[in-house]
Amino acid sequence: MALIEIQNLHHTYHAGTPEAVVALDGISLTIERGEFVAIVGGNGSGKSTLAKHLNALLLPTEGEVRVDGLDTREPASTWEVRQRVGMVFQNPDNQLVATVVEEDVAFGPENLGLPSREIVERVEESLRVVGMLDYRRHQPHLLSGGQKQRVAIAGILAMRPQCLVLDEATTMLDPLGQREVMETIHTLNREGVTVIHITHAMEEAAQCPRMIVLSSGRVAMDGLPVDVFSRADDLHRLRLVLPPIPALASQLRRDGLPVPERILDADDLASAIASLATERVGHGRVGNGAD
Amino acid sequence: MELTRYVTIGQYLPRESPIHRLDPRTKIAAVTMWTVAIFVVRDFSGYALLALVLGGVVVAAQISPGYLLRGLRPIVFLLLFTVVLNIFFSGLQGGTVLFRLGPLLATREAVLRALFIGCRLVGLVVVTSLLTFTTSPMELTDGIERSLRPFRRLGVPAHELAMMMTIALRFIPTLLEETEKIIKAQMARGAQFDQGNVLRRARALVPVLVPLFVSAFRRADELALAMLARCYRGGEHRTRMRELSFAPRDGIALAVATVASVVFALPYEVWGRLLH
Amino acid sequence: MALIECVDLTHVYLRGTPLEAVALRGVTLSIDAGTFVGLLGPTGSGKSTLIQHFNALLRPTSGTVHVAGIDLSQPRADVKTVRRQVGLVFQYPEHQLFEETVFDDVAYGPRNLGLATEEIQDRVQDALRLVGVDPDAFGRRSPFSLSGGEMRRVAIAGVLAMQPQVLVLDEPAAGLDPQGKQEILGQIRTLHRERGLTVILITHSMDEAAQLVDRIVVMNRGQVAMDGPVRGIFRRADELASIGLGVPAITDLMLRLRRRGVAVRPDVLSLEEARAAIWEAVRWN
Repeated sequence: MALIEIQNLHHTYHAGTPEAVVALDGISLTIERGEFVAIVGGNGSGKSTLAKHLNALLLPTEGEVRVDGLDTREPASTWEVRQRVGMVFQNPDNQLVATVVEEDVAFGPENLGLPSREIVERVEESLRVVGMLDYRRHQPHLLSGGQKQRVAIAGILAMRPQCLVLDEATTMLDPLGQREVMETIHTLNREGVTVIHITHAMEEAAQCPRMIVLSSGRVAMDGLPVDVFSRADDLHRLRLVLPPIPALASQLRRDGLPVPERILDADDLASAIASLATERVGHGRVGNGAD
Repeated sequence: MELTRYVTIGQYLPRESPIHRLDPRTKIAAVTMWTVAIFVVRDFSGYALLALVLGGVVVAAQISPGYLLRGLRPIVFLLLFTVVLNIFFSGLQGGTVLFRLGPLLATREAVLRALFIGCRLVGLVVVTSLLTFTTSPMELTDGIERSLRPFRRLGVPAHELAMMMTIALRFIPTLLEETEKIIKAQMARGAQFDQGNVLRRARALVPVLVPLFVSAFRRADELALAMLARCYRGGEHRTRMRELSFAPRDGIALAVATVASVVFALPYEVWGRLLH
Repeated sequence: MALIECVDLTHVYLRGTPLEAVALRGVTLSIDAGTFVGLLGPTGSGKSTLIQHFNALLRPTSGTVHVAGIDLSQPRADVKTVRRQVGLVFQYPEHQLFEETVFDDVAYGPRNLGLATEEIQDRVQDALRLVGVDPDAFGRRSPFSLSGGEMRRVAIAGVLAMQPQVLVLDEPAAGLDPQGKQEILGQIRTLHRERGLTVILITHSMDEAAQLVDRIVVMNRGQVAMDGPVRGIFRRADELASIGLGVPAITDLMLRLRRRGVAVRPDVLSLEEARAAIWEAVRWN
């Protein structure tokens, strides 16, 4: 059984009123345990609405979402679903409850009704995993954005979830903060946590093994980032922009330079170009440019 | 940025001090007693004793006295206002005239009483600041929640009150920062907050207050969602990382606090009589 | 004299208290009319403190700031004139919207200037068009009913309606989706090119800086760490890295090629330039 199974999911806000807005329009998806999935899409594509279905913060208007076999519509399983799927939100300032880091991390386990000795252990372990143990007695509002998000992640980890959903959790961060969060979630994924990373940043999506593109509440593409990036025109139509390296690679290929397909990062493109250049040593100005 | 730096009231200063380690209920009880005592004190000797005791607490709590005094800054105006008002409009008849300011007369008695009231205000602020400096809001609200628990049967929503307080304290710095940002942004669009009559000044605040409320509501929405996502469902089922426990040191602290409050509440003459 | 000129500008928050914090130390910088300057630096490097001096929201602790010839280190300086000439767009400016209609919100600045009704009308319409918002379709709508990107643009129009000579923007594209970003940045470029506005852009994105600006000023720990034409700055990749900043993805590719012995120009800024440089390097003869 897959960890998350979504079938024909529809969601309409203000259903049955004149202001009804269709946000999700028939989504079917399966996410296996241990996967690392990026979900991208322009504003209004339904990314956040989808995310909130994964832990029963929103319920389907039609269709169903199952988490670890539990139907999210079942009121009895709401809390089990939320314990299994933790969520980190966009604004680091609006999700920390307590005024001391460790007390905030304890908030989730306290809600689960765990004995205090176990809470203490989990808090310590979670803060260590995200590299914030030294800040346990600090006040969250004095931390940097990236540090706040890592505390928020620790707060989720302390609930021992199977899946971590980041709903644009890097959008408001500076490059350093983005890097901190990305490194943290990569580490968690290696340790077996399923990660679903919702983002605008195509460079971040390129780091994930699987990429789902949403558009107007539907799944427009689903596959390896290299495959998604090979469809530049479709991406543009979906209000998304190809990252510079794949964009340059496909431009060079269109120009007739035999650069291999499926290039994502600068290093691969550089070696491809370098080997093309060395084949022509003696003809061009190659080989004397090192500094 | 600057606003948050100026306001120290209600902040918590994490330290590993014996005062920080006390049970919040002990501290709440001590502060309550001292507050009562501050109102009962009849002469300066009481305040001198209080200052001595508070000084000891400040040292034990590892708080810099400078930081503590900065907490008084926002009330300096209120303090001066109260003192001046009490000097000139004391309602005290007669007494030794010290000086005259036009039709206003300052007597020795009135000045002393005004200073006395000033001390009272400072004492209250310092005592409450000490509580918030040494007790994390979570502990504070825990303490209040536990203390209110007996009244739950009377319909007092102990947990909800406590949670509201925690969140309010958590968001004070965030909202101050936001206020400052909005004020500056509107100033950059030519807003002036210090011109015209009262009505005009009040109207000038609309461009600040509306965005502030909008943002506070948005934050409230998002926070509520984040809390739900972390399985929050009210006070039932909830356990705590640090269960409050009344240790022997709390007993000692409470005894000391009680004795101290009685000592500085008793007027000087009573001490005089007792000692002879 | 340059349009904006800082000499030995130092700003200390809460001087003489235990919480004293030096945000700027001895910044000397001049910005000429008509230029497009990128202001970069890690969080906490003093960028925000610096730009707030440009329209007198903050005053120097020591040193001087002259804007359009007005000495802002004088307490009685003509702040009103300076604020009219320097428009400041803060981060997430849509959080300052407050009026009932888009029109009224954009008109807030011009009304504060005490302009005539017709002039206000013209300015609001002009400002909304500049950011690609149709005044007829959107003017009467509530700003709170707009999408995030539309709100952002209306908020920027609110500053443009003051008709400043200098536009200072603190991460105007933050939090928008890729196309929303491109739209806003494109409009800013147009303002610079067609209206001749002097633009100072704070950004964390090297790619944005490469696309837009002529000159880069890098701040670090309250000081100007690097200052020069954009190509020159990106040649100094190691120095940038030591401050915790990178180079644009395309520049990074060129540096990697050079390390592999391919003789490409290192200072390319755009995809087009990279394409040309790579062709030149691999071409026969």
